[in-house]
Amino acid sequence: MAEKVLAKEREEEKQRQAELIHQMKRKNRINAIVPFLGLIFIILFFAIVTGGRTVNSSNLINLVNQSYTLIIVCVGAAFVYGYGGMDMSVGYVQGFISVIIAVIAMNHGVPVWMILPISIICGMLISSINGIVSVCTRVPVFVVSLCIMNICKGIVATAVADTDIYMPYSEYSGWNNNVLKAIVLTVIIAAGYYVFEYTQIGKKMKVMGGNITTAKHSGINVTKYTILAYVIIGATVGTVAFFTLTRTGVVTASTGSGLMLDVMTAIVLGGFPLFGGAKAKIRSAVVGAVTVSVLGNGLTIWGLNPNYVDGVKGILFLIIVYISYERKKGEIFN
Amino acid sequence: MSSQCLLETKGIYKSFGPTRALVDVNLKINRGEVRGLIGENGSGKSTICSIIAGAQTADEGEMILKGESFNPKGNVDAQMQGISMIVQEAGTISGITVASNIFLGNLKQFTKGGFLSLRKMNQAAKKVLEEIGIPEIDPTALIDTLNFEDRKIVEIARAMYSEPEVLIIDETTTALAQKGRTIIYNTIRKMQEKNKSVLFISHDLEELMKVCNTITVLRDGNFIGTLTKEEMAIDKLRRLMVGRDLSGSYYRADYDGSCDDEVVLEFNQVTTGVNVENFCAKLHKGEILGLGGLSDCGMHEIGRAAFGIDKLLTGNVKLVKEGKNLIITGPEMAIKNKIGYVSKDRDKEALILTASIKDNIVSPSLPLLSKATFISPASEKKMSQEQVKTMEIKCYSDSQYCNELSGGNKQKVVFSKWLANGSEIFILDCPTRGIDVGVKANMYALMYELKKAGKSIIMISEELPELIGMSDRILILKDGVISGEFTRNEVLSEHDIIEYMI
Repeated sequence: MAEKVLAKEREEEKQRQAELIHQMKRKNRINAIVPFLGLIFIILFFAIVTGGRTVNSSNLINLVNQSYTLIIVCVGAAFVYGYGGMDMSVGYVQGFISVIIAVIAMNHGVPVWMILPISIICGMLISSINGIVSVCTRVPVFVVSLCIMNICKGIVATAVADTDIYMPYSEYSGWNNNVLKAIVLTVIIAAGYYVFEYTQIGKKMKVMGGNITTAKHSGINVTKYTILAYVIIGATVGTVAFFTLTRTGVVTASTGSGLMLDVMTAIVLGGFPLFGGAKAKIRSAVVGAVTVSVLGNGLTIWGLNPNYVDGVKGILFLIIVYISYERKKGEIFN
Repeated sequence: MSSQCLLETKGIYKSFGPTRALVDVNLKINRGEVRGLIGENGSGKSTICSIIAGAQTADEGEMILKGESFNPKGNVDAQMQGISMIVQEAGTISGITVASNIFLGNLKQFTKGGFLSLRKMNQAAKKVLEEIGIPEIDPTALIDTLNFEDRKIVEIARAMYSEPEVLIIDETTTALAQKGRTIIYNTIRKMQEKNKSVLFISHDLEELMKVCNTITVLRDGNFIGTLTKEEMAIDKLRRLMVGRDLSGSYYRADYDGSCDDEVVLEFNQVTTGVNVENFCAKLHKGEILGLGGLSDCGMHEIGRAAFGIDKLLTGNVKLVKEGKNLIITGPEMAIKNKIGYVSKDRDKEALILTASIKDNIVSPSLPLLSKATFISPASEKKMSQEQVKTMEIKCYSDSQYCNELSGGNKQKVVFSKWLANGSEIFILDCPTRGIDVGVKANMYALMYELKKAGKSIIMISEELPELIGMSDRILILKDGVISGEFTRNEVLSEHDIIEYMI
């Protein structure tokens, strides 16, 4: 008799266990689609409040041009944030690269087609300084990149002190081409997705983001992969610097200035863990980038003074981090 | 012994995600009682204690302290109401003084007009330290200047200054040597004399039987039973914990300490920055080499040296592979040459807690899984599921996160990392630390199987019984040098070894 009661209890316990597992899986699924739902919500919201002006064809092309930059850099940023790093320097690195390639283009020293590779290589070199200095000096990369940011900002300010630098626009207008941009964008997302999710590079970086000591003990060369992460983000920044310049044709003191906040907001909006690790996904970075672009674009069309848009993004960033950041509760001693 | 009830829990339930940590737990602790609490890892011992101590809240159920409903808002609140806890892991905060650590979160009593009186605080700290019998610790010293053991004693002081009615000790003694243990036992006795209660968690069954009046057994979050002093017996306790008979012997049964003559790893004059001086030793194929001693004797550093984690001051560790000598230069190189390392600090060094079982298991094997840059999800899944199956890791799937697993299961994941990539040499630093008897028995069986399969093992341990029980050869270290060497035999006892340790 007692045996039977026990067996019944065990059965009930099993069912309860299954129920809990089911609940958790559902919660995980919901968490995974929240960023997508957020994006759809924002698109619908702005389409309604602006009477459809955000979704007409001319604005969509505009939007592609605006989000294009951010999506590419966010693919690179996934590697940096994925391993647990941070990069405050992206915006002014873009500015610095723009100065270099604009000067080269002005002097007509090299063939036009070589400017894009030069831009990418400059990006890789400049950005890798973040990783190299941080690894060699053991200064947190957050601090190093803040310094690099200021150095680049100073260089750009000096270069444009007398007058803004203009590209010989006519020679490069062919590059400001939506089909070409779409191809580049697709290739970068696909390559980023492959490398981050299916190769040693991405997987090792996620291990580092999860626990750097475990990463070392698992035979991962953390020095190499730290630097590599900055080389990758540098390549994306270099790409973006070139295409932005072919569109605007001019380098000013504010070139690239808002990029850093946009990247960080995009990363957290997309559900990418701010300190990296196993939950880091390329798709989060991309969805976040699109969301931030739609938001900035929508707010402007809705009639918000463009100067306030950064303020709104800052507040949004804080709110998202507040909601998504995992805090341990009730633990004082640990 | 008065039978007046001091603390009672009624129908406590708690879940972490899908893991059921506690199911309808009812405890009743009387005044003057020293209650032992045992169970395998994941049985819910630590959870029920942290709920009582206010560090977590229960999903369901109520607690009654001194006849009144008790709902602590946090550790400090619980302590103010008379419940103190000494935790399993290191619980001191570095960078501040001993006194600040003792009165953590309770500085109000020394504050006047916004200013903290350090003098008063230090005096009070001094008094507490004297009361628990360790006046030699200076309250104004930085906590970081103390060794692990003394830091633990500071935690005891923190738990005791508020004169608690109930003291909870969560597996603290495993980390302590004789001095610390004596202090804990004295503290327990004093509590008992004052007609207060102690809740004592330990994996050491003999210790529990010596110290406690009654022992409660938990299994998988369920209350199994409470034994009185007269009913206690080691076999009975083990059976209740595991829920089945542990068949055969705990350690390996043979006394054949021989092994292959082939040397696989050789330490040449190894001197590290800490502790170890001119250490020389050879590890043979199919040998279990035990390294023992007090916790700061240098044995842990030798493990790290063999895996190339720390830079050596002099000497080298040589790997002999296919007749060639290779010098160990770092973990990456060591892993490539089939060496695996199980760190003694599982949660901080060996595991990514915020990643899945699968991600953890494949982490050292990524280069092996990579085919023309591509790592297929199917190959990862195959590797991890094989390990989950052979190691019997308790989980609902290999995508479960490691922070949801119990200590024993976590350790199984760590072992799996090195089994999965086909390691030939295993460096195990305290492989059974904080693990219950059930999983321990599994680990010992596994080590023996590995030995039989011709793998070599260095087992570093602070527990002499397991060194004697498992090793082919034991090296005892004292202050960084080898003080004794023993080969496996039937009559070897702890007694023979201890004198070489101290």
